[in-house]
Amino acid sequence: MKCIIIDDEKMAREILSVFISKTPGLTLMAEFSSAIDAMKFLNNNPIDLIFLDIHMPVFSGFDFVKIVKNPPHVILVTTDTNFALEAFSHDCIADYLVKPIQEERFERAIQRVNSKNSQTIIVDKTEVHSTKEIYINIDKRLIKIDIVLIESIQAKGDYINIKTINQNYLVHTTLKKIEHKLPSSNFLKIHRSHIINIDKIVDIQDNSVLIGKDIIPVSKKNRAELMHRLNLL
Amino acid sequence: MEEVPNLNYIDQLANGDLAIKKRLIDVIQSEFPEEVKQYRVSINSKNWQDAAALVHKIKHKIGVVGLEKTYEFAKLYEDQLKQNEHKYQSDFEQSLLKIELFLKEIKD
Repeated sequence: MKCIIIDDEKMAREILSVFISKTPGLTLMAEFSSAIDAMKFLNNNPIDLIFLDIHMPVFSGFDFVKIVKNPPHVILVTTDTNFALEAFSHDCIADYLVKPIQEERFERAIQRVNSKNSQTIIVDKTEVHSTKEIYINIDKRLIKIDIVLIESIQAKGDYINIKTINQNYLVHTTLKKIEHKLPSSNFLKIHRSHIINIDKIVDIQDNSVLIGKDIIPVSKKNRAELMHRLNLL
Repeated sequence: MEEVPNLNYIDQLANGDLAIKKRLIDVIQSEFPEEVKQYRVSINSKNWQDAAALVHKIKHKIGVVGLEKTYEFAKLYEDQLKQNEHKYQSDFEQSLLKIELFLKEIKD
């Protein structure tokens, strides 16, 4: 992947360039201290990934994302954690790194970009997510949920109810949207209103599954797929 | 216990590569004093918003030299400056002096 860095702070650019040089498959094409200079470069040079600072004089990282045509993947880099909500409202923004960047967190951000690339290429196949968590938006807060803790998800009108082993979350979205965000290896839609984590099934009886204390219906249409996915003796 | 500036983050990043370590130290040694100088100009001219923007930049370097509590304190100070207040100025500037001294020590 060809990448560039846009950050008005030299220290930040140096640190990112070290991380990039350590990452196989990443090539640093150029670095810029201003977003305007980077825009000129992008007009003539195709780039796969931009490391972008939010706080820059004159032209902020968000201004840049809004203006640039067909933006590549963007990893935001900032010392400010208050912009997470806005960050994830832009499709091109793959991740959000807080300075000083930790190596493990950098690697995870690159994995996310790679995962997004895979999704773009394998459009018709079931997506494979390497992410271990999902962020949900409740009352303008982004709350992290570990995917392994999710037991089931139920559609409730304009909302979905995400049931984890210790808490429920009511989120304004659709079952279809969250289905695409979950690893298909573990999660299966077993009814038009229910997605379950197959690993959390306690037992199956007739047309229902027991997960935790909930009995969840299985539609006729989805029963075959469910049975196919189980490790039956 | 009082926090002490250190090169742990830079060492970890350089992973034994002395050229990388030197490059990173050179950058912090040239960029930090310049930002502090601009910060002081902004403070002296009571330009709190510019001072906030400079604290924002300096904050990263505070983190790079391992001063985690000071990093958090700098966030509060930055927010305070955005409100045109500067109650934490003196404490913040003490931390700047500490880092300036540290950067001078590793240079010598």
